[in-house]
Amino acid sequence: MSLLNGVDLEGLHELGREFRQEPWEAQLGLGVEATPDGPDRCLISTGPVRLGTTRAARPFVFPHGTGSPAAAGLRDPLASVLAALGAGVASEVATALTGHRVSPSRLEVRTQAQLPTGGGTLDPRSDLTVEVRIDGDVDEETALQCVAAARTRSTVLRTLEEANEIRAVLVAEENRYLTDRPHEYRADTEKPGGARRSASAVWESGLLVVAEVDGVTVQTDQPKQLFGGDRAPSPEEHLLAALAAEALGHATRPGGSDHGASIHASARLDLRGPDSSEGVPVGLGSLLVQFLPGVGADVRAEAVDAWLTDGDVLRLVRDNHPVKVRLVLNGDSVGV
Amino acid sequence: MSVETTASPSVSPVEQRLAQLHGADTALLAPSAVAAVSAALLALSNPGGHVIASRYAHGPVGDFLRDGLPRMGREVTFVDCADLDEVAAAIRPTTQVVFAESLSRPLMLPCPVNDLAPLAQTNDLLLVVDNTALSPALLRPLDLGAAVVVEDCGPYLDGHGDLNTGLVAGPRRLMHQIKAQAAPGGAGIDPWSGRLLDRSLDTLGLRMTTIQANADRVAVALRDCPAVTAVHRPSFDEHPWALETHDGFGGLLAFETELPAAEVAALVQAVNGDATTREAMSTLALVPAATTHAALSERQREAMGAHRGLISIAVGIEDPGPLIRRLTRALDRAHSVHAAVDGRRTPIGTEKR
Repeated sequence: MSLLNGVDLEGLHELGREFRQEPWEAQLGLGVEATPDGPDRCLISTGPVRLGTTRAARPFVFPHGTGSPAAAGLRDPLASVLAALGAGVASEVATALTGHRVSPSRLEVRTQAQLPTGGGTLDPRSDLTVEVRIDGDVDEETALQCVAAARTRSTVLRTLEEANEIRAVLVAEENRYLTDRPHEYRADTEKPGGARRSASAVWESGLLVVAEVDGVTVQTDQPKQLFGGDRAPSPEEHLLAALAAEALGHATRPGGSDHGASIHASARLDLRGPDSSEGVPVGLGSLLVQFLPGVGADVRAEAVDAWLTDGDVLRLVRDNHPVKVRLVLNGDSVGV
Repeated sequence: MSVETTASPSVSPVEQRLAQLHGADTALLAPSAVAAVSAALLALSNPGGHVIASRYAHGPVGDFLRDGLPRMGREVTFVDCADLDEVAAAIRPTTQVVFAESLSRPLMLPCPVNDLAPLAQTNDLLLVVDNTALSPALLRPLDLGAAVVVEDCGPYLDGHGDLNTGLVAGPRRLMHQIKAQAAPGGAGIDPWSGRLLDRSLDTLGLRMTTIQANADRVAVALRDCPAVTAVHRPSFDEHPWALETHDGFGGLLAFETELPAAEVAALVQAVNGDATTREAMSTLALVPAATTHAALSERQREAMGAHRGLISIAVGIEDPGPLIRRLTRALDRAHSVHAAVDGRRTPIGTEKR
């Protein structure tokens, strides 16, 4: 029996059943490290993923910009967030379509973030928009159900949509622990206008999604232990990469630290969340960003404070942001 | 990626029966032992991952661990899996799997699976145990905490020399990955092989009881031979911890002599007669350094204990009396000739272990 859409639905269901019986096996720990690689750029390394009582080693290394705009051929942290958001939704829509025994001819997810007028840092109240475009022999009801399922189950979407506490540790002779609590979003405040940043994520097969943002291609996949193909970092790892790269950009600003500093960003995910109605969170939890000093010099506390104040990605992840979801089925807009 | 239904209706029942023998949720029969091991290790590790493996693994499985796995992006560190400190020292952040043999050859060292499994579990590692030498009749690694068990079905599960199949058994979640890994490589065996294996399992317990008793008798006889410097046959006296976990140590043993190569070959001939393979459950002797371990370097062989004077015996189900007589007679004759030729040598057998 070949797998429809390359999605091992039976395996995913079996895994879900096991997670409900043995919750400790559903605990996923993931982390990335950002190290400087020249001015305004860094290398992101993904660490081993811990899944319950096992590990999945997926040592991906890829270049990343630390500021906005990024150098040619690199993506900036916000671009990674948009790519991760689109990819995460796309793979969930594909999985849901597979559950309906439907194979779309094309599945694309376009994501957009509204930038404030006149440039500057991203407003924490900025809109995030997800447009799911499905082409093929898919009826409207099925498409709507799949988009609704993806909205419920997408870890990146739910992480951005909900408020999260981010813990920052400044590793020094006397470690400094900082906790940045979420700021409340108020829907009645004035919406920013101005330029938009956008990304496009096209589902390939299985859990593999190829996103493009600012001319840069970003692939996402899942470990084979979660029935992916081990071909690229997961959307959640790309989200952590965005956090780490942005934090590194602040840590290595002139006067911020020596250039040997590195950032480790990690999070936990209870995989029962996307698969149950037991009230388990779907988004990432235990978000931790560690500022690690280089040889001979510490990261200055002011750099961490500046990131906690100005970081666009930090605020996107920390604060709750309503995400507008739209569906375009065979070229026609459908009300969600 | 696709998951093919690998088992035919004739094979599924025997897979289920093997799973029950091992206390597993499900099992997979593969076309060979190395196919079973490779499916398990590749499924349970990722490119960039690290595997800790028994340094005594040899033959096609050893080749796969030394050459195949690294080519597929996995790093492999070889250790003595009976030495828990050595295993612990080899663990890295990227380590995913520990591959151990329940009884490592050629020195017949039993692995304390009940101690190794907790070490693996506390470090988030999956323990894969090759249980070919003992079979589920004598040891059930999954009961002791192993994640997955693999076996070459030839020696004991079949025992008739009819099959060249491999077995993987374990929990459903891991087996799903392993079956998905095995499918593209053509997993599964033909229905007739499944039928033969099913028939052989009826007598597994009887065969293992007899083989084990025979091996113990051969070991006792060898210990009395002056030409033998060491006999490698595990026992509950040497490994009292195994009383809690093992029902015996199977039919394998090895012994060492300091006789020249021609005499060693004559000893093997005395055991085997004209047989070149172990058929119909009969005893087979071989010199690992010249056969199963011949592809390794002298340094690697020495590290494994596969000395040139070491003879390994897989004791069969036949009456061991004639075998013991042939073997002891050949050993005594060789000892006499050798002692007469080189009277200055320290009498062999004085440092017997």
